[in-house]
Amino acid sequence: MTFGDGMTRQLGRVLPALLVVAFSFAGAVALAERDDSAILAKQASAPLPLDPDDASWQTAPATTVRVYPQNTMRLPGEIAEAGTVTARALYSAEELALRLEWSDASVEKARGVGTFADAASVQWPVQYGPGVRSPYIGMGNPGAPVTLWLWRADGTAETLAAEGFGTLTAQASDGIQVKGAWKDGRWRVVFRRNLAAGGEYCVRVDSAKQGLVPVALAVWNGAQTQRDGAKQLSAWQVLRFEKGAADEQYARQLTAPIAGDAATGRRLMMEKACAACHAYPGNPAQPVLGPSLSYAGGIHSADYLLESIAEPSRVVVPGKGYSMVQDGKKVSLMPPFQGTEQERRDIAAFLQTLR
Amino acid sequence: MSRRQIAMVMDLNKCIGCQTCTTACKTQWTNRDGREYMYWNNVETHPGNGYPSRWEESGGGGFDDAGNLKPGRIPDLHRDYGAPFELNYDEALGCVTVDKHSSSSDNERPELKPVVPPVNGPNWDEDQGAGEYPNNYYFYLPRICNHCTNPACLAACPRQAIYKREEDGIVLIDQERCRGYQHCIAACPYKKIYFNPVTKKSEKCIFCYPRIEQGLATACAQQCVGRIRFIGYLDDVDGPIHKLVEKWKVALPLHAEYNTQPNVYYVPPLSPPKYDAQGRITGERRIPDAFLIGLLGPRVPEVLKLLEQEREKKRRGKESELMDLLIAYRHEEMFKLDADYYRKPGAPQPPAAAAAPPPGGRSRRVIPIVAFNKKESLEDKLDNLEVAAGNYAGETT
Repeated sequence: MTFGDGMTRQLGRVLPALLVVAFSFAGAVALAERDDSAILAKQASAPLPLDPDDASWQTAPATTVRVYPQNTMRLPGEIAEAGTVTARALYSAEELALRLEWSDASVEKARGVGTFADAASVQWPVQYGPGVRSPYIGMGNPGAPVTLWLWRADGTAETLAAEGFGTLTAQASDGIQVKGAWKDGRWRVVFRRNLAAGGEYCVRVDSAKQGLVPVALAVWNGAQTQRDGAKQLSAWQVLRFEKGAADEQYARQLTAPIAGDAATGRRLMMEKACAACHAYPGNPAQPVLGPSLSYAGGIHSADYLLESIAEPSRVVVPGKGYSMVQDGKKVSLMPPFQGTEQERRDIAAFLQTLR
Repeated sequence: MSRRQIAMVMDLNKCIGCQTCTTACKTQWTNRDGREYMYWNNVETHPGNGYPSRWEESGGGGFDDAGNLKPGRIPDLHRDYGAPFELNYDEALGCVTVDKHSSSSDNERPELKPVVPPVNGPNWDEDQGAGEYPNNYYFYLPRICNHCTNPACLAACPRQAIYKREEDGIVLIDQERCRGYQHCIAACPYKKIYFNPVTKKSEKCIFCYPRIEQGLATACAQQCVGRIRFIGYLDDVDGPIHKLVEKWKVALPLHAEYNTQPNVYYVPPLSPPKYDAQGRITGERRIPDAFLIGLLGPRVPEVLKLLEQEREKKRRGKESELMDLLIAYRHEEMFKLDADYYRKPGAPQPPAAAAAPPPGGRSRRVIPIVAFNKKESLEDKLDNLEVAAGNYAGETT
C-alpha cells in the first residue's frame, strides 16, 4: 500500500463523518446518529411497533443514510438535491420492522391527474450472501432481481420485484404492513413484515444465520412531481442484526473502500477519455453520451464501480443511447478499460468521492 | 410500424356537432369507475380552446425534427379537462326535518348549483368560433386517439406498457404494466390519454378493438348521424380510407408537424363565402385558409379546390366518385372491415416479447372494463369468442 492509498482511505472515513456533523447541526438531527453504512437492527420483543410514534423506536439506534437524486435515467420530475433518511430497525424472532424518517416540507398524499403522492421504498436483493454480487442499485439487473416494498402517502403499500429499469412488477403481497405519519415537515414511515414470508421474489431473512442483509432506500417528493425513477436513492446499505451471526468477510465485501488515489483518478478521467462521455463535477464538457456520474460514489458500491470500469457490459445501464444490440445482446457503448489495475482503482476511488 | 394500419377519415363538412359519437363512446366505455371525466371521443369547436383546454399549446409533446421526444404538460383536471360538476342535491332538494320553532322555510334552501364553481368544461366555448358578424365562422372537430404510427405516448413510457398492435396498428395501454406515471399524458401532443384516478392507471381510446375484431365499426362511427366517419385499412385499395387518403388525397392528418404520424384523417371543411362591407357575396371562403392550414397542413387549399370542383360536377349531374364516397349513400359502405382477418389461420400475431420476462411475467392484457349486457347478441358473441377480456391481444408468459 502506498502512502497515497492510506491518505485517501483515511480521508474517506473522515469526510463523511464531517458531513454528518455539519448536517446534524443544520438539520437538528440527534448527534447520536451514526453513519457507518450499517443499519443496526435491535432485537425487541414481539409484536414490533407499526406506529412510527411508538416509544420503543427510541431504543433502536438511528442511522443517517444519504439519498441522492437518480440521474442515470433522465426522466420528467424535478430532481431535488441530495438528502438524508434516518433509518431505525427492530427485529424479533418473527418479525422485522424498519422505520424511515425524512424531511418533506410539502406533504402530498393524493394520486390524481397530474398529482403524485409522496412515497418511500425499501429495496432488497433476492439473492445475497458471501461472494454474491449485489444487484445493480437501480432496480437490479437481469439475473440479479431485487424485491421492493413501496409505500405511498395515499396509504397504499405494495410488494414488487424488478430485474432492471422498467421491469418493476407487482407481486403477491409478502405480508408487508406499512404505516406513515407526517408532522412538522417530516415523514415517519414504518415497514413491518414477518421474517418467514415467502414468494418467488421475496427477501429471505434469517437473522440467526444471516447477520447481514444488503438494503437500499428511496424516497419521492410528490409535490415536485417525483414518481417513477425521479427519486432520491441510497447506495446498498448493510442491515446488521444485533444478535445475528455476522460474517465479517461479507461485511468487508459490502463496505470495503477502494485502495486507490482519487487525485490520480481525477486526472485519469481525462486521460482515459471517461470525461468525453460522462458528466461529473469538474468536467467542463458535461456530455450526455453516457450516464451522469455526479452521484456515482453516493449510490454505487465499490464492487460495482470497479466492475463497471472493467466490464461495462456486465450490467448495461438502461437509458437512451447508452447501449446497442450486438448478436442479440445489449452491450454498453463504453469500451472495456484499457489500463493498469492500479489506474482502475484510482478512477474508482475518484468516483467514490462523487457524492 | 405495424404490419397493417387501421385508420379513420372524418369529413368535417358533415359534422353537425351533435355529440352522438361522444355519447356513444361514453356509454360504451367511460361512464364509470374513474372514467367519468374522460372523453376518449370529443367534438370541439374551432377556432376555440378545444378539449382539454388549449391542448394545442400544451407545452410541446410529440417529437422535434431530430426525432427526440419533446417535454409536455399534464392538463389540469378542473382548468383544462373540466371535471363533471357535483351538484348540492342533498342541500337543495333532499328531505329536511321541519323544525317548528325555526323561522326558516323551504324558500331559504340553497339553489341547486355545482358544489365547486366550475371554471371549465369539455364544451365551454362551444359554437363561439371567431370573426365578426356577418362573417363569423366556426366548425366542429371530432377527436379520438390518432393511433399514431410513431406514438409519442409509447416512446415516453419507460415500462413498455404502451404497445401498437402488429395486426392493425391500434395503440393500447397494458393495464397490468401501467403504473400511472403519466409520462404518456405529457408526451401525447393531442392530449388523448387520461389518468384514471380510481385505478391509478392511464387509459385511452381503444379504437373499439373488440368491435373491430368482429368486423364492426367503432361505437363513435356506428352512431354518427352525420355519417362523417369512414373506417378501414390504409392498404386496402378497395376500402374508403385508401380512396380518400391515398387516391383522392382529400383527407389530411391533424397537426402532422407533431411528427407522430397520426392515423385519423380529416376532410377539411368548405365554408360559405364572406360578405363585403356592402353586404355583397365575395369569392372568399368564410373560414380563412390560413386557419385550416394551421390545423391540417399546407395541402388544405388544393383539397378545398378539388372538393368544390367535384361538388360542382355532381351538381351538374355528372359522375363524381369522390362526392359519392363522401355523401355515403349507404352507411355500411363507410366501413370496410374484416372479422375473418382476425380469426383466420396465419393471421398476424402480436410479436413475442423480445426481452426476458420481468419478474412475475410479461402480460398484455388491455382493459378490464368490458362489462357486457348479456341480452345483446353482439356481447354474447364477444363472450363466446373470449375477445372481451382482450384475449386476442393477450399474451401471458
